[in-house]
Amino acid sequence: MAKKITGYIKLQVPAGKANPSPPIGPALGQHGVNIMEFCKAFNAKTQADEGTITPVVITVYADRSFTFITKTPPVPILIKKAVGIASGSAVPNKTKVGKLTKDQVREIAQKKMPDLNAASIEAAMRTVEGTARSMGVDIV
Amino acid sequence: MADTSWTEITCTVPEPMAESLADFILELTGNGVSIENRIVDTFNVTDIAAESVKSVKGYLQDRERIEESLAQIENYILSEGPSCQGFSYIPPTVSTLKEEDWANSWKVNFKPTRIGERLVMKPSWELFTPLDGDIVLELDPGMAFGTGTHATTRLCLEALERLLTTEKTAPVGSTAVLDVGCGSGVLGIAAALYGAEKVICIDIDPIAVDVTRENAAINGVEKILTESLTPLSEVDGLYHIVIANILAEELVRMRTALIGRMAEHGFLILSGILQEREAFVISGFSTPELILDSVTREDEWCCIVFRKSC
Repeated sequence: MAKKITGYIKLQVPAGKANPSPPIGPALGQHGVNIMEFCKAFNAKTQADEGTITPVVITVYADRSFTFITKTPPVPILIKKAVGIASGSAVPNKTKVGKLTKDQVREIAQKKMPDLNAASIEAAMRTVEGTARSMGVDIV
Repeated sequence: MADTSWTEITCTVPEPMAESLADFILELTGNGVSIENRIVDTFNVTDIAAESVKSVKGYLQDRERIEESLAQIENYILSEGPSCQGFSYIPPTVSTLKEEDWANSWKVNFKPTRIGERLVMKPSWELFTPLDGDIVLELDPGMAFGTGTHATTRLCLEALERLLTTEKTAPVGSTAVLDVGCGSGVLGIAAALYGAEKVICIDIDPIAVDVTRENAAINGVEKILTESLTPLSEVDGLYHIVIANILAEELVRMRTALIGRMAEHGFLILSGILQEREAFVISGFSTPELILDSVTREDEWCCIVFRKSC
């Protein structure tokens, strides 16, 4: 079919729990996509990881049909897992909540590399380091 | 009653920082985020990836946290932005979204639509009283192309109606139809409803095949229509009508295989062709076996029908 693309949206939503509230409702609603069909298909595909924040890229075609692909979890989720903390710092400049080694940064960057659109592993590592700093996690 | 409105914070940032900003907002708000492109009108996903500016949107329900959250987002953009080439600071915008019925509001885009003389496409939630002779095709939009709202689909449906009801291509009840790249199955289902005896729908996308199966059952043509992932090169038999609504370059590439499945005096309906590619496709299918039957046009698209001479 002549699949002309009219929308390309990336969302980060909990696996297995998609519903029409923001961000899904407004993001897909503006393209006239069948929101319940997306929620049903996404939840069915991700139910094994229920609750884990999961990035999903939705491509909308000219006749409002769509496809989607799910990606690896976001960087903060991977950082929290590596450091062993439940949440980042509310005052990242002052209150530090943990430390991440360069090796751990590299490991997360490698895991996320296919999804980061980064030119090199070093560029991906800089993205991970920036996210860590904003969470009050020092790089050592 | 609890206030159910949402505050939407929209940040316009360079593409390289969109991901990390989205992660930051997700962490800050605890709600999902979206990354969107400003304008999309292309056939190629790589064109979209190349766009230099993205729009990152976060959502809050707690009004008391808006100012504090906005300040933190602004700080993040100002501290991380300068490392991106060509960064210029655009302040985030804040808007209020009323809790609307997002689960249903998209449905306004899909109403019963008459295509050609007799066919009416309707979504499952709409009531429609058919006139005498109307053929109603029920189809809900979803994860396969072919919702009926696109010109390329409509042009094919009109060609099918003409060939199957006005200019009968074979004795009634014996017409065989092959739909290559069936998407939602809309064309094959319409062919069955118009009276084709045997319809084969193929697609390279497993989702399209599943959706076609469901739609065929909804329309009661599952005994006439067979759907599968079979490659075109492995399809056997000859068909009075072969349909392919794909794209100009792909159609020309598949030329030999498509012509090879046409029965004597059969028809080939080609769609998904931009008008600027019309001459390219006609010359691509230039062979003594084929006679140009008709070209129909709508919006920027055209549909080309060939007839096999022998």
